[in-house]
Amino acid sequence: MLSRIAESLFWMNRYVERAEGMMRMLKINYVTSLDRSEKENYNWSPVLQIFTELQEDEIEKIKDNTEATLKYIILDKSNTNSIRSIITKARENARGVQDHITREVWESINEYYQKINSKKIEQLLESGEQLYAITSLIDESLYFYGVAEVTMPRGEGWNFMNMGKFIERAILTADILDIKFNDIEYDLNNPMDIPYWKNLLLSVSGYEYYMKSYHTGLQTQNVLDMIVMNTNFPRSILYSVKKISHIMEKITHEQTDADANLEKVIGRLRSRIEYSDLDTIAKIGLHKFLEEIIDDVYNFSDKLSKVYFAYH
Amino acid sequence: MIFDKYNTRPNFWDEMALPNGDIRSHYRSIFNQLNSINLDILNKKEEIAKKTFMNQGITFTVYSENEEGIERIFPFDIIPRIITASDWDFLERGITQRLKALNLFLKDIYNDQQIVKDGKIPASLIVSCPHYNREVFGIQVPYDIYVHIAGIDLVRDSDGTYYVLEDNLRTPSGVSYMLENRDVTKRIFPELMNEYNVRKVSDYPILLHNILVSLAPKQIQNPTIVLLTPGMYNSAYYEHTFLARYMGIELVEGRDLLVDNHKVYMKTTRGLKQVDVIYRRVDDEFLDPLVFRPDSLLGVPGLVSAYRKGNVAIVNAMGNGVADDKAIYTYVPDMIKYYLNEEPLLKNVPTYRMEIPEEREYAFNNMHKMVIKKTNESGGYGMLMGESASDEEIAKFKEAILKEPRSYIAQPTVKISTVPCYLDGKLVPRHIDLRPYALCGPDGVKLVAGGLTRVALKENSLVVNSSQGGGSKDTWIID
Repeated sequence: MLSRIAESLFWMNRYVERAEGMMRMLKINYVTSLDRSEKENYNWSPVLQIFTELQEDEIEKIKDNTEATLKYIILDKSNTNSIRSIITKARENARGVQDHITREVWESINEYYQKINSKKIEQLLESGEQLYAITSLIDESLYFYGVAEVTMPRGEGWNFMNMGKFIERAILTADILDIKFNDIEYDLNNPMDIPYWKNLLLSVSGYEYYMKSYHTGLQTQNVLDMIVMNTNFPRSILYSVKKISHIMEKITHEQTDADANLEKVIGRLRSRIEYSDLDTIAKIGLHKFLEEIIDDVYNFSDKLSKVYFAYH
Repeated sequence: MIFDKYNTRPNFWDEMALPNGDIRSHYRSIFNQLNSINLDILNKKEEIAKKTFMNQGITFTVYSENEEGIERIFPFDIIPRIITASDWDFLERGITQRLKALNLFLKDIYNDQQIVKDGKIPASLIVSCPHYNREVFGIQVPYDIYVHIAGIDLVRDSDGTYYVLEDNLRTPSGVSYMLENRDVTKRIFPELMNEYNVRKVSDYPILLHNILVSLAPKQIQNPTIVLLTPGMYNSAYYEHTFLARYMGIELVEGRDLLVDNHKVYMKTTRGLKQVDVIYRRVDDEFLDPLVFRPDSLLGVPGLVSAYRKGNVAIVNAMGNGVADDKAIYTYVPDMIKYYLNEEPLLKNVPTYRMEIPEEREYAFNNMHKMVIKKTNESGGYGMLMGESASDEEIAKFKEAILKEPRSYIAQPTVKISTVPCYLDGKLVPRHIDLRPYALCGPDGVKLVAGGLTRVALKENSLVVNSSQGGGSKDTWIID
């Protein structure tokens, strides 16, 4: 497969995954912003800090304005990290590889693109139907994943698509976790209860699973366990890293030195998470622990693109 | 009875009807069939055709000076254009003859230049041609074939005579529309296709693929063949993906290729893979920034050196623009006599070269009867239709011509033929041309029986280019 094609497939999925993660965060924050108890001091500043490159004074201007914030993060063309910009990039990548993806995959990404560029979404965001707008955009990414799963032939292209998806997911989950724990100063013994963690769990679609699986112990530690190491939970960091490492094995047919090196990098990360427990994390410090994971994933991604996408 | 109201334009050749309203024999059957369909069904068929093109994303991009490119569907008229076998056989012989001569001319002009030495073509005309490409002088190409794919544009004058309007010998496009149009017709008019014996066009990708394989520098079982596209922003990108898909070859961009030690490689996830044949849809001047335009990002540095060494075959050959230059076009009948010692079968449209003072004066005095064209442009750009031009436009063109006379030619407006089109529920005559696709390989010239009929959809318009509001029709060659 051409390196350019592999790279486009990789980025197509990274962008879709990023958009999905962001939209989920927006959804939860939007819902929260409506709760009476939160209303008085709710503002969009943390979300704007994670997802945009706005300066503090600019954030200050729109942080109390839900409509302006949503429009900036979802629709603003001048915002290079807006959902619209991200989906445009995903579609551009798809357009250049049309003969390597199925017609259905192309049509689904095209549909997402048409929707986010439609007047209708803008109108919904300006009216009281913001939640409907957000959910209908989340549905597009779910549709994309479903269509890809059902129609794409397995093989090199498929592997690079999934590689993009799980690299992005690992980073996104670690980022979200880091921000939420920052608020409680990374104190693993903090007695924060469910209401505090609910939003985080909801934003990674893990609330129900959490309630079913964790009954005893300190919530703070349980939440950490689930989102970092629970391999039954498809958005945990370990789940994503394990996926990356499986895909890596499939991609490397002939064992070159470069391949072996890549497998080593991801294998090391995987074991480090697998053999960590609360004590070791506490010893290193959660922030540092998460930071190292993120660095390792980026490092792996860099190496991967040098070996497979780079134009020698 | 929708056909009752079909009125031909006086003094133009109509493909279906005679001036007295009688229907030519080869159109009679379709005429009767269409007359017995009711309008609702016909509208439904038109709807299906439109939808098919929409869903498949069969679009092209239109460029204008101030705007970004806009993606549009290429309009399709559902009523096929029919050409009789005897007409076609004549065209086939004429095009084959023309291509033989043009290939010999290209070999000659990039090697011995005998035709210039013999005084048949003025050296100044060759030297002043912007597409005469000195960088490829003396390069030997497989089987001496320079033009592998030609899309020669033909028109019919008021007495039904066919004329060659231009020879497109560089990167002619539109063949995907020929194939898609046929697929759509099969869907909407199966009963008509059963009635007529329509020759097939679907072999085109296979024939082209066979030629590409035969050009591989080394006789290997599975040569690596690629289609080089300028990328997805190019107006013909759809066609590039279409052809790559049908031939099962890799669609590459310049940045996917590199040249090392005079060999071309593509960059894959498994490392470098040598490329043997490149079907390029990138113009000469962008192909190799080391040799041509240094600012080109579409090409491959070093490509010309690999080409010169014979390590890669390039289709069409580089430098072909010298043979389809509109001023050199006037000499094609002479080339046929010179190289083949034959009388030309197909006629040229009379052409006035603007650098010759008497010819220029004649054209200037008759501007309203002329079409002015730039010698090196295509696609209906840089063109003036004298008949409908304002005095201001004419003055502007005169000025431009005086500045660069070599870059312009004038031709008397050809009264090109009409065919019935189904537009807004009515049957109306519209002007057309014909672009058949000819392939030259080691076994000679082959034409797919058909081609792209382009239609000027605006009433009375003589400009058929898609960039100027033209559409297309399926084209039937019948036995």
